[in-house]
Amino acid sequence: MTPVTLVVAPLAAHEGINGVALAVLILLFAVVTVLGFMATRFKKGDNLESLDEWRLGGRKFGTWVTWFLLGGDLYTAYTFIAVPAAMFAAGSVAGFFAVPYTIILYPIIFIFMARLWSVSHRHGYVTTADFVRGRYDSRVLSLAVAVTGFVATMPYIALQLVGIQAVLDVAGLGGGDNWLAKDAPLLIAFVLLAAYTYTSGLRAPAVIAFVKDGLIYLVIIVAVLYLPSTIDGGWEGIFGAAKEKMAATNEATGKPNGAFIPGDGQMWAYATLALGSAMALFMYPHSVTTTLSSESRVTIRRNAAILPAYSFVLGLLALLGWVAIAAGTEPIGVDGKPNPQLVIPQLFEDSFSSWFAGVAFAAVAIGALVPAAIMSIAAANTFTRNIYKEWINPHATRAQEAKISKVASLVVKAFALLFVLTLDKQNAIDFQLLGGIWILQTFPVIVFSLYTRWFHKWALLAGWALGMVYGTYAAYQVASPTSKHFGGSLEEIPGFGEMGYIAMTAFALNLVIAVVVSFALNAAKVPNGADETTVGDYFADAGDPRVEKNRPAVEGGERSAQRGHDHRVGALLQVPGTTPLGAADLAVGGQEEILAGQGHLAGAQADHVLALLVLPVAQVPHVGEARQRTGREGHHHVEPAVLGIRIRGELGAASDAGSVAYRNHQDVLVHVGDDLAVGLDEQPHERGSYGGHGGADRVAEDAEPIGAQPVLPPLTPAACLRTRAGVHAVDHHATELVEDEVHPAGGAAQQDRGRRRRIERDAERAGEVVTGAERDQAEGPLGELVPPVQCRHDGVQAAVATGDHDRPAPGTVQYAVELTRVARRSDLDVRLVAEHRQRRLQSSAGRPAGVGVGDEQEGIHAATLEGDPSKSASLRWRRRACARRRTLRWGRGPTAAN
Amino acid sequence: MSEFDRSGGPDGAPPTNNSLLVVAGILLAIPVVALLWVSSYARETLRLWGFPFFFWYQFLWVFICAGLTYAAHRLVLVARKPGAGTTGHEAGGDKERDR
Repeated sequence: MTPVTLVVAPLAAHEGINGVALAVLILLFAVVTVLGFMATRFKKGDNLESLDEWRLGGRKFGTWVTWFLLGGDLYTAYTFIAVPAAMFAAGSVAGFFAVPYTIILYPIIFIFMARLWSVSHRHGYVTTADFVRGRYDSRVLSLAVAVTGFVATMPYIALQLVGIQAVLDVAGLGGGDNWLAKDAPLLIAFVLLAAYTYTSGLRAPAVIAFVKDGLIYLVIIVAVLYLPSTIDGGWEGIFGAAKEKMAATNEATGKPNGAFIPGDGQMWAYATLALGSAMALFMYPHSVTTTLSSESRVTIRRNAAILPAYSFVLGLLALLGWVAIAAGTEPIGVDGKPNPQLVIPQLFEDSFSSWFAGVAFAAVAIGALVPAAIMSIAAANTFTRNIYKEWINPHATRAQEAKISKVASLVVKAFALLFVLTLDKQNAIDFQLLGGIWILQTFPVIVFSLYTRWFHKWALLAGWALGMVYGTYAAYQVASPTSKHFGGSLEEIPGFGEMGYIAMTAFALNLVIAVVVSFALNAAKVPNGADETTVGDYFADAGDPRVEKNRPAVEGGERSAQRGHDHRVGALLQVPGTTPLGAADLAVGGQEEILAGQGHLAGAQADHVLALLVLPVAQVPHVGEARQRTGREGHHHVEPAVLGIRIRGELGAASDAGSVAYRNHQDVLVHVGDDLAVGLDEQPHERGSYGGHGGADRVAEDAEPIGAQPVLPPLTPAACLRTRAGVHAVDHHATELVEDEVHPAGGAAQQDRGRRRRIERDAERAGEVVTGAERDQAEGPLGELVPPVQCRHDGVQAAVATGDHDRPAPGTVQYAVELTRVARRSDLDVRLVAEHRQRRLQSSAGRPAGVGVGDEQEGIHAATLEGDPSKSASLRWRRRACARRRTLRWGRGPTAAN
Repeated sequence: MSEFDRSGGPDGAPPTNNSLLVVAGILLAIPVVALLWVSSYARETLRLWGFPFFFWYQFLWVFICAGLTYAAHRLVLVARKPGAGTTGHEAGGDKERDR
């Protein structure tokens, strides 16, 4: 189709299918579909079945991936289709505000997103509702945030499908009277989207986002360079034509069509639209998901500096709406009705050669798919964590949770599809506006709470509720030429006389209520819920051992949403210097009961808790990083020796040991892996100044007083997993794992059979200490290792807390390490691990014979590592092989917790 | 709150140079104020390559804002060293993570 054809007979353009364009579109679509399915391999973690993997891509996206993903959030069908359409139909106030909106967005997120990232990283929050839950210990407030996010996201997804539909429409598909023929293309696109999101999780959009952004940039650049040259007078002509059209009177309303440049009385509208949209965007679950999937706090902020590149392109896109005015584009759908949403695809089809029009269509369609995928994942997260698990099935296992998440993502998309197919397209856009109004009402709850707890939770809830009601009502009252209600997002600001964005008015109301009610409630000293976060949490970055130690809570984040005890563990997990690689997720906890769930859930599930009972054996001179040491000469820290490992089952169901075990066996990936090994190994390495002992020596070495008295008698029996029995139940890799990885944890214990036997005895003895454990202990394969670990609790804590070298006061306690996320292998520098392991292996190879159970595997590994020049590769291979080890066991019943 | 909550410690705020933070805050506020002050740029005159002032001025702010945000980013890195007891990365150390 040529522009000539179109001018002569605009409708003719829609009568046939644009074969070439369609072929290109389908080809590119096929490419991204394949990419989407292959995305599971992208930055692969150990365990794709893990929910965290699925929804956060394992939280290891760097600056550029994050950049592309965030671009996916921003560059939605809204920006391709709706913004130029608004420019085309209603002028700059309705459309071009998107430019200042996306510019001031970045200073705003720069300020608060890093805090949100840090506290989420520290506590394993995946959604904003998780954070609210932790900050105020309020399920209701958390639910309000979750529901708002969920509901506001759905029309947004629908809008993406509208975008895809617009492209298909212009490409000539979707015609016909038969509804099936009409909607089949969209259905196919939907099914593909759903399928690869389901299988690949967040990785799919991350990978496709590269393709998408590449295509978008290509199309935009070509469009912006080429299109004005086809128009008389270039940009002058374009702006001239736009000005003329905007000034012309709209027959339907009797007013001018729109604003060319915001005039008097429109400034406030323009500014409030920009500010309100900027504040709202990062309240959406999908934006938060994307942000949290980045690997560090710095990534967020660096991104805030480079993301404005998108704003520039967005501005050009918006102006394409005016290019279409000058080009005389007639956006008329297959059904013969005018539809401004078609203006961009129609402009492309009219102006470009067929094949490039196909590329442009693909850019728009794929550009709508990526955000749709991200949004559906995010909405599903929110639903699963904050609605399903919090309110419907608190005892959901991880597998159930993962399943619900995936299914929810399908349901959300199906709902969006229904939206698009049954409602008028205009409704999707109107509801999206409404979504923007709603989501902004969660801003005070989320952002203010990042800084202060002055606001009272009930006050925030009241403000939210009023903002929602007011915003919905005000939007309902707005009429437009095409609809009586929800016709736009502007209203006269009450008592001010200027037009403004409804969302901002509602926000102001929200804020006033929140302040007034907070003041009242605070004055009345109404309790404001328990805060599980600490000041330092808001500054945590990747590599911060406090973060790393709490990483278990990331994987076990489900727990933290559910259980009040997690933070207690987190709060007690303060052993400096034990995680030098930044990957050893050793979290040294306090007394057992802390792990077992103080907090709301008496029958707490601790199904993912792998508790490592750790004994801080000795205080040793801290020779960690130079930076840390600087100015802190002579510091000592408590170094934990791992005395044993225990994995808790689902406490709530512990009485049913068999099924618990079975279920956990299925669900819980407990990586007793490298990270543990590395973390512990690293210690002797760092202490090289006085030792140089290999890792395998470590526990024994620790047992000797080095520079300080041991807190415990040397060689307090260490326990290690009762390896074979427990592990076989799981899988072969797990066997290797335990032998090979836990080995260093067992360290001293595994050095000879004799000692190993002793360990087992000790493990039995553990039952005495850990009451209830034995009773619930599973049989056979579930044999648990429950070592008694006793140490002087107070002293250790004190030493940990202050880093001083005072002799700890006596006290007895069990130390626990949560290990759930321990073996996030890919967090490790592979080479480092190889080196460490090799060193360890060498040292163990130099050991006398009769080393014990683990040696077989050790030997093999040593061979693998040493014999293969590309040892990191082979190691990587091994890691993959080990990626699925699952061990699971449970420790003791809930009664023991209390 | 934790028993370990004490200022400057692992659970407190890291040592912070507040004056640098204020400077960073001002840098971040500049684009917000500039763009929300619509009447300062809602005009046509002073065209650039056919673009009315209103449009190219906002495009210009894309770059200014990126620059200011990046400057603020660097300032914040300087102003707030990773807290004691962390293995925290140096300001430039995050490069390694940009795989």
